[in-house]
Amino acid sequence: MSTEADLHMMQLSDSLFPTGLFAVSGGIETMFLQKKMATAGELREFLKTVISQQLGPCDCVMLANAHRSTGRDEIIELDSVCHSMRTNKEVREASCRSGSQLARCVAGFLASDMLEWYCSMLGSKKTSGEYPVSFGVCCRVMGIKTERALGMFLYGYVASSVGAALRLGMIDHMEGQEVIHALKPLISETVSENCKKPASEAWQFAPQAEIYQMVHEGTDAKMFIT
Amino acid sequence: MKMKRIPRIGIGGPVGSGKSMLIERVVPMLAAKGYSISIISNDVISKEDADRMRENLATKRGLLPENLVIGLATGGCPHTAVREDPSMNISVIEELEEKHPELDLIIIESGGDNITTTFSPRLADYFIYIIDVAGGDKYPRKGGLGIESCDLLVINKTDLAPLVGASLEIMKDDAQRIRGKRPFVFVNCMTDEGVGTVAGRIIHDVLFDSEKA
Repeated sequence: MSTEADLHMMQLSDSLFPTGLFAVSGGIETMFLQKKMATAGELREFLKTVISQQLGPCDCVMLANAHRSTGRDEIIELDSVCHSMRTNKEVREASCRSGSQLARCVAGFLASDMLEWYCSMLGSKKTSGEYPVSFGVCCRVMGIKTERALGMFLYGYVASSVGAALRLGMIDHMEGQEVIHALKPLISETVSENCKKPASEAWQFAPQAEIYQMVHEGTDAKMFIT
Repeated sequence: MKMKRIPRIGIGGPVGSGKSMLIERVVPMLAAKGYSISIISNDVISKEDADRMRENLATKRGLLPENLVIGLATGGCPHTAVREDPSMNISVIEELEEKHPELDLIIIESGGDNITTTFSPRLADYFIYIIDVAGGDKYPRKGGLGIESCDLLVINKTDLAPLVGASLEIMKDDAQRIRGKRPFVFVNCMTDEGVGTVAGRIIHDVLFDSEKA
């Protein structure tokens, strides 16, 4: 990859990039408040489960297919399938809001027919703008390779989850970095496993995580959107 | 499809300064003049403010539909949600603009934060920063981005001045010195004193209608 593509990658990976991920916890807040998760080790195990059972086999497959797709109908279809696989309203809405804002932000500084078309589909509500699909489209137009895009996506999830745990007071800053480091082999393995799978092989199964995400929706006092 | 851009006001200020109360007092005045309003309440730890406003302004008084009072969690980062990364707020606003083009105004309340709070100009067209007398008469003098850069500085709870030993004269002099020609107003949200001036400013400076404070 060129240095410019490397810089694109850094820009999209940066926590400064405005996609609202700082405000999501993906069920961690509920688990913490219900005393089901209290340590860095428990956080690490939860993230392992979500990566292995949800983000890898579903989100990464969708992202990779959106990244290599040349057909615009296929992008719409991927958005639709990804949307239907989100069982929780808060998570579904947060994913679409982040995905839409991501595409619009990139389109604001990078001229691309594909992005312009995708944003017009978002504006006319003809596609949902699921975050993994939008991420795949943006990485493609920015010249970031599939494997790198998947790695960035999973790293972003882990980093934002660790950030949520930090702000909840569950872990400290050193433990947070240990969790991120410990998950690198799994991220790498998940990228290899899923970067070439067709969309028809996407699946996800993490019912306990989904239940905590659903409980969050009905919680009155909360810091996070999910 | 290009949506109509509805004017947006950001209201920021420290915890307990009266952001929600100011909204609860201003909205009825604007509604009485026929303006249609939506409120987005960014909260740090609960939906309490949004729920209270929904109950007081929508459920009990019918000044706006219940679904137009929206609570938004900020992941413990109220300043980030309105400044560095306002994407979730912008996304909610875009949904509002699509579904409710009839709206005249969107009020975005920040979660309670420090005196450096500001709003992204992409998020808010007009920024009201509110402090309260109970914080001490040194508050305007301390400055800070919020106090210095807002379009309108509101100083609330004037009735508490004698109880906390604060001088309104000192606050007035310091606010004038810090803000130059930019406006500030003393209010008491419990009695509506000064709140009409805030409503007048919004009508004149944001909605560009004839009323002038």
